Amino acid sequence: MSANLLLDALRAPDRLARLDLAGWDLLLRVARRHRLLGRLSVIVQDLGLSQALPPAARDVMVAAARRAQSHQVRLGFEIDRLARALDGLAGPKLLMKGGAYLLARLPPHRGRISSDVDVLVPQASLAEAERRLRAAGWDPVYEDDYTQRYYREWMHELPPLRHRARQAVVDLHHTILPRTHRYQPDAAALVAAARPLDGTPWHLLAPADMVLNVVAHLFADGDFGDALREVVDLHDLLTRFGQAPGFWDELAGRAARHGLARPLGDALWTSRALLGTAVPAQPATWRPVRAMMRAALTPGRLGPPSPALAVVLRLLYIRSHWLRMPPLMLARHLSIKAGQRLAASRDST
Amino acid sequence: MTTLLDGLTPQAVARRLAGDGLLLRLGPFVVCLHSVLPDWIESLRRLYARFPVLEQPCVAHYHIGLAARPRWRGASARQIDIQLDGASPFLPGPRGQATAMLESMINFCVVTTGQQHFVLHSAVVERDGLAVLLPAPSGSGKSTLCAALVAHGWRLLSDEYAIFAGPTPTTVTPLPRPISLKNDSIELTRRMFPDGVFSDLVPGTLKGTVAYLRAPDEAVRRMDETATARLIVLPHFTAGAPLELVRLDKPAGFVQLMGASVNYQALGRVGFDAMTALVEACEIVAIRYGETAGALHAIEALHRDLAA
Repeated sequence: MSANLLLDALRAPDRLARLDLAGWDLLLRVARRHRLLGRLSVIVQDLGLSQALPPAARDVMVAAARRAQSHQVRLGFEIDRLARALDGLAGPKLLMKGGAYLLARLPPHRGRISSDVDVLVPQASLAEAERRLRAAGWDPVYEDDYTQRYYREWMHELPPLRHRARQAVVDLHHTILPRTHRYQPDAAALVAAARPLDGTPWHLLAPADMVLNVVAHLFADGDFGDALREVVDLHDLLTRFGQAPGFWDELAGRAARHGLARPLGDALWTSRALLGTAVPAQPATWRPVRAMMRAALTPGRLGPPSPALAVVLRLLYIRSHWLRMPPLMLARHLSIKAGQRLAASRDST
Repeated sequence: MTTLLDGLTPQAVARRLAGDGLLLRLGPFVVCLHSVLPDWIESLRRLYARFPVLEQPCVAHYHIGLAARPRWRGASARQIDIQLDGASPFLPGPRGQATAMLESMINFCVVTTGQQHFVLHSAVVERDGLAVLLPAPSGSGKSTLCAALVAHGWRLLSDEYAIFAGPTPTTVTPLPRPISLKNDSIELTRRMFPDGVFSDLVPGTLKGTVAYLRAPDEAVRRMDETATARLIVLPHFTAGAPLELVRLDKPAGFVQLMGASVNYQALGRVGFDAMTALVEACEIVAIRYGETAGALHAIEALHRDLAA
């Protein structure tokens, strides 16, 4: 039952009015696990269900709504501070993911709590952007040389920076997938297609590119941290943008341009399978990785994963690293990280 | 007919803990506990004896699990883990700390996810319907002072959090959990409560040796009786200091209380309005004291003036 309570709530929220006590108890736990309590609180609010809920469920929903609201205020402030720090930087500054959804009031922003702020600048502006942020009070999160070099040489973003006073973290990107990744989207094309957000100093990715950013992150990069939440973001974006004439062709075209056609296919399939997203008919290719992703993303039991699921998750994890780096580099990286972990655990005993 | 925890046999408690969970109503919160640690059950029954047990199906605010960490993960002594819905915000600890870990976890829940209510970090006691808040950071002597008031006949609403769950901005909702004691105050409190039910000592926590005093049965029995906040006392203990009282004006009181707030920021405008209403309705007094009896009498005198 729990496999579908959360998906049902997302796909067919009107059924929530008939959910019983045991159902609510489980739904809250699963939603919390997948960081979708905020989203659920928005659904409850939109349907006017609050008063009809069991008291504890109402409490949890009120608390989640307040947390999300408070988070949005702080995120807005953080974006404002970043804009000030980067004011005068040559070239466009792109706000991505949660920051973009909030500033543009796109559907995924409601009830969403993100951790870091994601900013993308052209490669040529990267050094200057970093200099300005450091000067304005952001410090590196990781001090060690290896991690610094790992990010700078191989990744799509600089090592994260945390603001000294506010403790908020910013990830400064120059592209959307690691440099060493098998898929290499065209960062310059993403920047060139970016649109200014009126009344702000920020640019946003074009709608198709915004979708591809989520696709790249989840289906090419395989970071399953907040995975179901990202699928919800994807569903929201596709539902909103999909209404614009020509969007789907644009999306397919740009995916091809960036070499992301295959991950896009996986993403559309998954979004439709899990959340019933209205997508155009897809060619009937089926890839084993789709079944694995679906299994990994479906909210399941509350305890540790079943042995079968644990295997799937491990395979996906390996796959994501496989995609990220050439084999020899991967082997070296993993052994260095293992060494660091061993040293850290020895230090702590 | 409500079942209380001590109305269940240890076996019945163990069955629920190992099965769908033991549902306890802790004031405005419903907690579902999951565990298979046999040696912890006795401590739980001791400290929460008079709390109501609920039946499934039920929606809980928090599902808290206590479990032993598997030996193969490299734990040197047998360690336990406490989890909120499968995730643990805390480092594992030795089995003897189960009681302390549960109390810390409940605190964590209230602080990080209790935004449905306006909450202050404060002890609350009541007499004649009027509640006195004792907001103070840990180590300020608040718990000992709170214990002294309770020993002197005041009803305990809470040792840790003032919960404003309505209907008015000054209505305090009780959550009479075990009173937490540290180091020297453990012995002091034992003398105040010769018949008190105490947990075993829990040595080696971050705060030193810790123990818990079960809340008076009457306080738990009256768990659903709210009280109206009228007096806020900010205590500051300095050994040997003479008693000093300073009445704070509203803005100064507001600022002091912000320091004691748990979710003021997260509640935004709602938090500001709640704090304003509370500050406007209450006398706010700072007390510096060197011995508990002096502070006790001062608080009782202030309360008498307000009740008159």
